[in-house]
Amino acid sequence: MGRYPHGKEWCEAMRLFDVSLLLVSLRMSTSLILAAIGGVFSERSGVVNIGLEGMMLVGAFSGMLGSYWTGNPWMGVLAAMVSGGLLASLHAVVCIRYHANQAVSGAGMILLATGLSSFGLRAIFHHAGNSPTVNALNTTDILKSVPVIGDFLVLLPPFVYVAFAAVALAHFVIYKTPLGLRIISVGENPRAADTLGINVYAIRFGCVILSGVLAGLGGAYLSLGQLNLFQEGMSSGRGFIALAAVIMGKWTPIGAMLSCLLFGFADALQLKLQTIPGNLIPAEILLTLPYVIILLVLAGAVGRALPPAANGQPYKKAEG
Amino acid sequence: MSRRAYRLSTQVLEVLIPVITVLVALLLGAGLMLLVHKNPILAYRALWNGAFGSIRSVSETLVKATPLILTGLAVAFGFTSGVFNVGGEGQLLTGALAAAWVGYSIGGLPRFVHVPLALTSSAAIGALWALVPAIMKVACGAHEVITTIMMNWIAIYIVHYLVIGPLKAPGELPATPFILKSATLNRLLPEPSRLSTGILVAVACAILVFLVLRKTVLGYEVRAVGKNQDAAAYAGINVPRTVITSMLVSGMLAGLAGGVEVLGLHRRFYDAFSPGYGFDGIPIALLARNNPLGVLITALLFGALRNGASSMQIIAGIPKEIVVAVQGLIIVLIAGENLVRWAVTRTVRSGVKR
Repeated sequence: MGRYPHGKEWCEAMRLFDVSLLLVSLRMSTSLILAAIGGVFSERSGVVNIGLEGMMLVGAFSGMLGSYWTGNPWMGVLAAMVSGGLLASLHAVVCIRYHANQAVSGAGMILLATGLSSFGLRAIFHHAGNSPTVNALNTTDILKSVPVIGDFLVLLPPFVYVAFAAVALAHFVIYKTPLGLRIISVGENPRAADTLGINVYAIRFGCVILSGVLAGLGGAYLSLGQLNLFQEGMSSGRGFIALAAVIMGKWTPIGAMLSCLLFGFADALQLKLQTIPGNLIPAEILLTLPYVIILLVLAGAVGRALPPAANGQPYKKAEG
Repeated sequence: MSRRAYRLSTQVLEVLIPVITVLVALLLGAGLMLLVHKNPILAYRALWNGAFGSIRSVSETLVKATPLILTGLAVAFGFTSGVFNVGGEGQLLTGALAAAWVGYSIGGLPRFVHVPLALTSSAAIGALWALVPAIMKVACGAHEVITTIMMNWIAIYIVHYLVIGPLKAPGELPATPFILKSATLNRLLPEPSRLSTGILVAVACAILVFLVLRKTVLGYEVRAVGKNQDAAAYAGINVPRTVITSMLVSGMLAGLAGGVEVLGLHRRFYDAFSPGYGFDGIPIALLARNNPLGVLITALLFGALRNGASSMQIIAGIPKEIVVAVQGLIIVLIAGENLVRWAVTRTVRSGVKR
């Protein structure tokens, strides 16, 4: 301790950066990454999906419910993905088929999800705030046999690995397959894509529903991976953080993933900072850190990055 | 079809669509109730009685509608210029805290000075809270939905910190001290009615906003920018300045909503007093098609929903959160209004000779 010139404070700061910080960062980023990948697909095809937050919330709720009713957390995961997809399909129908204002529809999704999940919690469990605890997937036991780092890998829920796999898969699909090229073209210039025979509606539908499925999975992580119950309003803004990560990552899967990791790290750091003795910043102010970062990001990054050209504009097939 | 008949029929349609949207949403809500084995007819009757069944309920409905009128106006004004202000909640909270602080910490003022001062401060702080997203939208193209939502969260945490810390009144509750009598908005009706002159402030704002939009240059510019930014710019309108002004006005109205709640109803600021009034403004504005006078009606509707929902919970056993789901459904359906429009014109056209 005497080696360092600034002594105690420096050591305290250094103690922040240890393995547990890494673990917590990964844990905090997982739901963000899943939702963000969904966001990348949706926005790349030209549909803004602000309702990601809502799809995460219904995913969290349905995940808990599925595990509660069947006792099997994997059924919860399935339920979460289905419910996220269903909510997204409503968004898709309204925005793609009926040319709705996508931001408004997205906002409606969030309210709908909030209302449904809170209502469901009370109507089914006759309880406010938290659901009863359910069987969850907090650890990945099958990885225990991996040599050297097995004991470390077990500590992370399977969702974490699925999230990174999703990033790799998304990157492959978007940049290495014809489907990915079609998605990009639909987002940049749907009319040109349409004249080439690409089914703009179908691609957009598929991407939006996929974003709902992934966001639902991200929500399932909250209730089945991070905890083992559902709390009202569990998603607490993560859907928006995921959206900001998409923008920050310039609408690429890997960029979005890196942004999510940054946010997860900021979150983990803020938690850690709360525990240092002598820390003068009140906890509540630290809690605003992720949101302030997003504002800074949006102020700086968006000027440099261009969204898909047709993002947010409903596509109307020409008559005749 | 004569021109007059066509114009009349489109006007009828414009009013019909929000009405049908609400009915469809309520119908789906009924479906949800059936899903959990509850009686929707009993529920809606309890809702109606709870909202309008007695003088007391009507008074309480108006109480609930008061902040909704203002947040609805806030969102509507923003939408008129093409800006989606989702930050009503944050602007409301900061405005409310400002009003509370002015209300309890400045003594020796006569009422006709103190009340306007407190209300003005709530409006000013609300506008300030909308300033950052406004500038970011204009300068960096940042989507105002995300920036205003971020400001919401920041507001929630900062206000929470202030109310359990520096601005806290002695005692157990996370709340500020009560405001001085000189800052309160009078009650309109005798006890136990909670209705205050705040509702008059809200209605006056609605009329004011209507006049500004229809009769002033600013209102014209706001509407023009909302309809077509490029055309407005071509006509010489300073689009960035108009957008910023519009967001500031929107923030002002939302901040005022908070101020009115504190000065008229609660007489203090206590933590988490708003059950989402800022967000409620969105369906209210959408249903009213951004018409300030229409907002009065739709805000009343939502006040009734909120008020009646408590009775519905007690009598029919249905959690009042269903109202939030119904509101979300209304937003989605209104966003997809073409869906409703298509359905209605399909039905109508089959009966009308062309």
